[in-house]
Amino acid sequence: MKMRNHKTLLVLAVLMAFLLTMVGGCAQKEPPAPEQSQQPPAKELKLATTTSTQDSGLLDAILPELEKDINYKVKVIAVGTGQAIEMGEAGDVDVILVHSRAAEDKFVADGYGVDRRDVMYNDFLIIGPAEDPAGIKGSTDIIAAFKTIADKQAVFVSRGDNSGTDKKEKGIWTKAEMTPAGAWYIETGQGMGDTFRMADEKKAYTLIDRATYLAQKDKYKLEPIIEGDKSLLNPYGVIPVNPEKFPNVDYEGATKFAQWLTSEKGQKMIGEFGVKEFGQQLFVPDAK
Amino acid sequence: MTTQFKLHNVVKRYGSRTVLTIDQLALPEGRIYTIMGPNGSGKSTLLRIMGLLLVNDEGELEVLGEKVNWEKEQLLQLRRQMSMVTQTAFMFQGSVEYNVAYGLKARNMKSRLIRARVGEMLEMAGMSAYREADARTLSGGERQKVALARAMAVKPKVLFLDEPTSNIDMASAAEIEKYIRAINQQQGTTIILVTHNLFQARRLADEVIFLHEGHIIERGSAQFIFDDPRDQRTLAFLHGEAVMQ
Amino acid sequence: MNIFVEGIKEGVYLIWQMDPEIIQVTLLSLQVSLTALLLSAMLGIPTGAALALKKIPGKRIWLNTIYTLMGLPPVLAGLLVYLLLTYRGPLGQFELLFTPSAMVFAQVLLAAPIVCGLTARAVMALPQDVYDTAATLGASRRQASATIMREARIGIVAALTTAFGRVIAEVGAVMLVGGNIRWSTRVLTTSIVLETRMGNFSTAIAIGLILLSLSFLINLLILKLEKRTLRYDNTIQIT
Repeated sequence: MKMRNHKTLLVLAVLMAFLLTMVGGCAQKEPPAPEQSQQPPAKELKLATTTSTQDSGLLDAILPELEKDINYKVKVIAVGTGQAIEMGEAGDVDVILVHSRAAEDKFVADGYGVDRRDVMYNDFLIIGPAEDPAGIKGSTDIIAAFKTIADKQAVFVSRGDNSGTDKKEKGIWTKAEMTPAGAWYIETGQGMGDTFRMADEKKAYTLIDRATYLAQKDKYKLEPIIEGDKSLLNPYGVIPVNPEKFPNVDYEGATKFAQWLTSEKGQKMIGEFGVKEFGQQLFVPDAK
Repeated sequence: MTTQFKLHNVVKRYGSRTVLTIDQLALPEGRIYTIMGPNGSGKSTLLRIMGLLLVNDEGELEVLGEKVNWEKEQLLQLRRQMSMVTQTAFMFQGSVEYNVAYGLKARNMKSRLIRARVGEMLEMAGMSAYREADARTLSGGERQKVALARAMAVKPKVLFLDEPTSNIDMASAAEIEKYIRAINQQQGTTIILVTHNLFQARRLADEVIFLHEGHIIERGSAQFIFDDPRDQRTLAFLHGEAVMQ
Repeated sequence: MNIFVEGIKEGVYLIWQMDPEIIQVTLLSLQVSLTALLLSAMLGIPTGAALALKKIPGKRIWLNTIYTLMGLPPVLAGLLVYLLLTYRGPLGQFELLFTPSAMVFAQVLLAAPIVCGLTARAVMALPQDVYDTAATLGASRRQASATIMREARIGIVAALTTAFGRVIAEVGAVMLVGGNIRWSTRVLTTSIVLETRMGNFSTAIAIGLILLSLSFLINLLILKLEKRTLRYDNTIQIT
């Protein structure tokens, strides 16, 4: 009995040692780092942004360069717009990057954010089944198109999660002076990728941002139905969290982050994103 | 001869039911006692109280010369001078060796000495061949023998047995009875045995105690009781049992 | 069907390549869940045993509470821990939000009740004989308790494997309190969510397969440890 217990103890000891590396934080392996010059060790910056922003791949493309230039490691937390703003309001992140103008303005007005800057915009499009049951393809009047969808009760999938995309969509319904409801109007409460998937399953219309559309359109059958309308623009803002309200946030880092995004270099990189892969720009640099 | 057990006005209840009422009972050491009676007469209850597994609701209990206060330290000290074999002969998960060594390990005996004692006990019980066997694969008779070896390994002053041969084969039963008689004669161990078996009681007992509905109705030396019981109920019980057997 | 084949191929490829990101994510998943399991065992086993053995006023209510907590939705556990660790929250000053420690915390909330509840049940299922035999053979309270736990071993191991299965597979809690940050708090389950959201189904399946294989191996290890101490198959034989 004693001999066997020794082997058990050995295995357990190995397991324990393995776990203890956890305490030392060794689990957080460094990403393959580019040449680290004689800079002081990079500090951490917490960024809250939306899932559509992350899923577009923009951040993966520009962050390595940004991190090198400002000597910060950016921790990206991608959640719904509402939650991102909520995190800013709780002081759990240093800076937010979202696309929901009204909410952004309120964020600043309420004193949670300072120095809002325009960064870029992309656009939305209405996509739908090739058969176009509502007969709105190519229409130049968004509001009329939406009214038609409602009249014909064509299936429409909405994000229904108070995200920037969702607010944009709700805004159009408001302008059309109606509140969509019924079996044809499906609210998923989920991110853009999931909503795209569901719309495809249901052969429905939906409002989608161009970045997500381009990135995933090969998997699905829906086609662009309406695009290019001015009201479909989707502007992004970057806002550092107010250090007076939350002394724990890294205002300096957040400012450097925002400055980089709106710098010539940052804007150039934003504008170049997607051109090679999709043949078109995904985001239009828009810093003022 | 010292009195090993003294019970005075001991009462045990389960809810509203009174299962045991002992006005007076004194057992001197070194003898073989059998406790008998119909089902539900309180035999096991009495055994468990004397074996310090069950707390009496009323009355005084004196064990090995000490008034039992049911405190942890006293219980441990007293329990380590007694041991018990139950009807089921419960075996711990593990080998026969592990089981027989259990009480010795509890007393922090040295491993080498434990191993020697285990070998000795298994030899006496005729179970040496089973030393490494999984205790749960033993037959009823084999388990009882191991349980006995296990209980005796700690060299107790008192050995309790609760119907140890009820469910086992006759050969094993005979061996166990031989063993019981031997340890009483050779080591002076007090034996308190609950049994249904008239003939077993006749064979083994120095004194017999009859219970009926929680009361002691008869008590005395074996030969007189069986041939000439005083109480009607004892007579009825004996006849009943005799018919059964 | 093709998706699954794609997924399997991609999974094998990722492992074969020793893709550093997958390795890191896998290691982190293991470290978070195993640490949570260890802490839950340290909390849950003694508590479960005490609940089963000691006379406690309102024991039934306590047990019922534990059983209910066994079904705590992971996302709810995540939300609760989030609210505790947020900057303005009661434990905000420790800055634990979005760290693996927060993830461990949330998973302990999920696993500990499971370990506690199932341990209590395993101990309660033991016959009185266990204690009686130990006590009459001269075991002290402490020794008898150790013996009781030893006899309940199988049930306790079942508690551990159940709890582990729960936490290695959950996503709601670690997503909320960890934030799914690349290289930092991203684990296998949150990676699956991410890949699915981005439409990379075969990658998501690949990661899922890695997760299942991991779970299988860990449980195998636990069972092997158990086998060492149980020589015979203890189950009922039906012929």
